[in-house]
Amino acid sequence: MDDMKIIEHSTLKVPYEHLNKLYRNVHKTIDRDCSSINQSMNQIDKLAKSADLGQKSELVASLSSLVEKLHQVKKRSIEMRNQEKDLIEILKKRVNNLKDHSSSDLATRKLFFKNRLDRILIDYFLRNSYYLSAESLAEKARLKQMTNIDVFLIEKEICESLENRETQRCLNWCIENKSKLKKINSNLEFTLRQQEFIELVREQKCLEAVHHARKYFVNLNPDQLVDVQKSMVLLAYVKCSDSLCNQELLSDSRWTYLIGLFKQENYKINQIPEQSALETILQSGLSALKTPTCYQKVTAVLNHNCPVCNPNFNQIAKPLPFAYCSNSKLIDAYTGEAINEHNQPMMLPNGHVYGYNSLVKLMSENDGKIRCPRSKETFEYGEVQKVFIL
Amino acid sequence: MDSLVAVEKEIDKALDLFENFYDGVDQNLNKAIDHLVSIINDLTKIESEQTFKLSADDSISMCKEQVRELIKHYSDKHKDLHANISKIGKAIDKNFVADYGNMSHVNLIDTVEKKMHLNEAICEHLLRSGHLEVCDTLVEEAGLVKKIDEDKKRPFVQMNYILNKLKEKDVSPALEWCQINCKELKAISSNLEFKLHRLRFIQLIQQGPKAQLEVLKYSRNFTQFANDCHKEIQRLMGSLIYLNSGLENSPYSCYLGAELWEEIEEEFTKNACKLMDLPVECPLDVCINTGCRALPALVNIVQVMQQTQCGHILSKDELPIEIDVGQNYRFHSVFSCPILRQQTTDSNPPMRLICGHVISKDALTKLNNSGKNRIKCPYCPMEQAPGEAKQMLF
Repeated sequence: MDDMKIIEHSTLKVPYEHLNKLYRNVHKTIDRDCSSINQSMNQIDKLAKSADLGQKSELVASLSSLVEKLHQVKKRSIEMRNQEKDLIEILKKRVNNLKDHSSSDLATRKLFFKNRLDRILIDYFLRNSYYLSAESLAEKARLKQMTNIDVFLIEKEICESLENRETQRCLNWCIENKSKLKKINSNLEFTLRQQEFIELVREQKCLEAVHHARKYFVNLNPDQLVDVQKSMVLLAYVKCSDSLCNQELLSDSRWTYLIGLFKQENYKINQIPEQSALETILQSGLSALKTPTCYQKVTAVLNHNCPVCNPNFNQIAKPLPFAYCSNSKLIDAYTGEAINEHNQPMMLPNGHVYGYNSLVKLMSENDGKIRCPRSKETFEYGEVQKVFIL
Repeated sequence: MDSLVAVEKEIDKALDLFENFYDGVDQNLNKAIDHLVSIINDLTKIESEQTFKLSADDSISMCKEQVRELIKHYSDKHKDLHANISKIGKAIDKNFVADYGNMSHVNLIDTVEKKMHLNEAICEHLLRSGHLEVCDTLVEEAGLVKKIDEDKKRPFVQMNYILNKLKEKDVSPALEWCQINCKELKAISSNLEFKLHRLRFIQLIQQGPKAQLEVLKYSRNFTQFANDCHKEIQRLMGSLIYLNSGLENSPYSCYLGAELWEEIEEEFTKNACKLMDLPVECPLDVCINTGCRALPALVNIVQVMQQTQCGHILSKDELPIEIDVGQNYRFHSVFSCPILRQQTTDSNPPMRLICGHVISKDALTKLNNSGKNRIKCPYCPMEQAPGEAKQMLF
């Protein structure tokens, strides 16, 4: 298993889902066309069986209209052919792009990793609604085809309409994706209808609300029934918005909840993972780099290069586990060199430890005396004690 | 790699089949249209009642058959194509891991503050890679205006400018920078300036005999480095012999390699970052590279642990397996007590016994359990009092 298998699943699955969706629509169109041709043919057949010379022009006219129909079907089929072909081509292009991951040329690999990080950032931007940044980066890095920007732009429109307290766009989306939402047992459509009911009650249009409930609150499962009962209470206490239950139903946070639910279902049916790739990879990376030293006060050794010590990541990495270390791995606090059998550890009287090579360096810089870089005290070489690390 | 090959195979198969299908459909439609047109032409010409009735019946029934075939082919064959499309999906699911293998457990960025920190880190990455406009857009969209101001951007903007010029093989901005920061560079004993002069010198030599005077004049720049780099200067001056015939076939051909230019970019970045107290490699890059290295091993472990129901690995104190991050990414010492097999911390520091062996403080306390005032080193026969152990600071 390599990292590409783990990270790039949705890169290929999302265009595949688009292809699937297109295929279904194309098939619907084909069925429609076929049945309409069948109908015309049957009509002509009936006409021909009972026709005489007088109805020649009628027969010819229906034949011509069938020819016309066939022309149109042909045109549509060419369109659909191109659409289906384009989507398959997009999938193929992405597969080709991913091949660079295992390229034998170092420069190609480096470029692939750079592009991968840019793609991960674009995905993060889109999930957090930084649409302009995402588009700008996609353009600069020429990565537009490898990203799923179009899915997120549709999401953007619907989220904006939900923020404006409008449910129609989202409902249209639910209807479009009805079968898929049913497969994942989605509650979205019901929650939207419930919100519409609440809005009608809020505007004191109680009769309309009841009609609405009669129309849409049908075929409910037990949980939904409980929700409906709670909402019905609103009808009774319409003027009295003090009770806790009413406050919860009338509050704005329900709209935020709706937006979150929509996003969640959108990701599920498009095969986009719920957590962004950036967060998942960061979790693993920060955890693998996290050492107790990064969070200590007494024995902390400042290393500018350590990302976990970086003030930005330090906070983020706090809840993550430390890296596991079975054998001691020591590095010199002065030069950053590895301390091992070629560079043995030596302890100064103040307790600080350095590698032998560092001591040589320190002595050459300070007339044969060792000046501890951390505490600034000076020692002779004779005062240094050897340390044995197993 | 073979995962991609498998998916590609299915995609190519599907492309072929689609091509054949639509070609067939096109053919059938054309045939039907032609046939109908000819029937229309024939019928229009007929004047006699008898012939009309016969001809109409005949040709229409033939046509009906043809059209029926066409419709059946169109609908059924397209339905068959679905099998190939779903094969692509199955190949993807088989060869790739969905949902990051259940690694996403913790909601890492759960507060507004943490999001801001992450966005700042991303801005730094964008500045380092030269995407200044994207950084500006992000600052606006994410509301970071106060945090990322001109002061923060300036060093990166300058660095990118010099690096771009180095990519174009123009060393003058880099040399300017070196001269401005001469003192600081000397403090970190960097020979960046010399290397830049060397590159310029080689550039001039490549211009051939006409640049002879210029080359000699330029070599005066080496005087300040006479003490530190005299061997290299000797080699460079020696290469002047091949001024006329060119360096390609001389023992000095190594000077013509592109590695020198790549090396100088790296060296410049290292020195600039050291001077400005910045990390040499972008922290976000380091994290992502390490993360990508760690993911396969961690995903494997998560799959195994799911069967034993011990809770997710990311909710524990320590990862369950060791991840080799490479020597370049070891930034801190980690001491693992050989007795208790725990990492040492502030509250449990490493202690050096008189004999020189090192154990953690907790291990020392455990050895002293019996209350006596003498403990024996676990690794050698040396005995000592517990108080004689000295705390170490790596």
